[in-house]
Amino acid sequence: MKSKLISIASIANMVFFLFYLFAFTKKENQATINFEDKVLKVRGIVVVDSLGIERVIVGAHLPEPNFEKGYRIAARGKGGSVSGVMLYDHEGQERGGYVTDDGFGNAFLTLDSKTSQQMLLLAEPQGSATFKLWDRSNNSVNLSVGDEAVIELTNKGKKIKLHENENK
Amino acid sequence: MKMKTSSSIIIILIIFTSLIEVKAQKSDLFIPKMTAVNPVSYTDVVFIAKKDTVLVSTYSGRISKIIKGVQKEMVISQLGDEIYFLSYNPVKKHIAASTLENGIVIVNEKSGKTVLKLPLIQTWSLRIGYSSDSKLLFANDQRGNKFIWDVNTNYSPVILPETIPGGLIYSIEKNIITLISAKVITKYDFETHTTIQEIPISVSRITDIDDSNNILSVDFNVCKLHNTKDNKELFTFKHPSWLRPVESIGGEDAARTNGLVVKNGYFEDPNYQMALTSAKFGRNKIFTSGIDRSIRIWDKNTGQLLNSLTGHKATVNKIKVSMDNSQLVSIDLKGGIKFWSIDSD
Repeated sequence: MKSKLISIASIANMVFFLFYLFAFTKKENQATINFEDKVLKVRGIVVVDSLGIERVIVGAHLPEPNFEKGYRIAARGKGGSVSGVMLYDHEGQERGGYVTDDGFGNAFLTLDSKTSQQMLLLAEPQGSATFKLWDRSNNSVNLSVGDEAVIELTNKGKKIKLHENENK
Repeated sequence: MKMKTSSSIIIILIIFTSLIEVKAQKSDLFIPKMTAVNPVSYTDVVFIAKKDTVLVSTYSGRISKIIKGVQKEMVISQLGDEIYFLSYNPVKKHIAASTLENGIVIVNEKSGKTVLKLPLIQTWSLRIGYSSDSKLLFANDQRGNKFIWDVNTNYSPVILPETIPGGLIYSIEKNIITLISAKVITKYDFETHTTIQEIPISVSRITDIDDSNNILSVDFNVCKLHNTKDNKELFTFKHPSWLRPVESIGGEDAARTNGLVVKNGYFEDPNYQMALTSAKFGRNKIFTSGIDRSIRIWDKNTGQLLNSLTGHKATVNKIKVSMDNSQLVSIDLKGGIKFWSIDSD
């Protein structure tokens, strides 16, 4: 009698155990969890491609950039001082971001080549703003507003003279 | 009583297994930190034999041995930290790895075990190396500090004299330290604490120095060969074009239809002279690599382009020449590695 009870209890436990294990491992169960009424509170979200290379990071704070030579430099200070969304190319190099920084309180949007930043759209905390494009040949376009409106064009390092007050 | 015991054991087992499962599920979903790393990329490569055998490192903290012709990597150690530079001590069979969080980690090549860690407080090193006699290990950190450790006394720190000139340590040959600063290369005798030579330079971003103190430097897409004896620039090089695989424009026929010259499955796009990542001296040659995924071979005496090496599928981030000058090894940001036979004459 005793051994029968032990067997029944063991089988019942085994069934329960398998059911329990299956419930945790079945992937569909995770996929069908409804999060519609949930608010996600996280420090970061990382999107990776099929090779595991991180292509998009939404985070606070964002990590330091890696460079084409295969190392990381302290571009933003160790630990990172900007938060927001950062894009990375297929080789894992930082190519642009939409971030705010802790130091000055700026908000900015940047686009980078594989070696340097090429475009900046910046809003400063006191109310001025800048839009800047540049390349490695000392060509640049700079539009900014603050105490006054400024348009600057540079071609091969030489400032292009613009006519002021054309409507007068 | 027996039944109670066996049931209790089974229940404990269930709870234990469930906890493991839950833990496994959690680790699948969450990562300890955001890193922005490319886990397939190689970050450094060093020869550990005359040729054919190298060590490679990755951002994911792996150190592996790769032998030419052998497909599979032999993993030596997994440090769990980003590795940027490697140096090999052939006497002690030690690998020094410069890491992000753990300073410089010394690994035994044979056992793969960590021998010790040399901390760099809140910074990391982008250049480390063993002296030519393998007795010293040096490093420069990101703040410009210099460090030397004595290998034979379990890497005890060597107190640097106050008279040591400014600049970063480039190499240590016997008792002579070569330091590079913005305007001068200094040879400093470590034993007598005296500067024995100062070579003025007008270039920065030095990538290699040969036995005659000629310098290679890289600035964006331009490589310069500089003669320090006369403080004179001898040649400048740029990769003349982007060698693109014909598949990128729909195959060889499509390329020919567009009037492009196809060679070995590649066509030249002269509109791009992309940034260089490395430049190294061979015996009579210079090798440059770039984000255009190619390596170019130049004549050291005339500055002429001799050959272009293609086949990498990502930025070629490091190249190294073997000790006998007969082989070049190159790594890329997608985990590619290639050994190239080079004419050693």
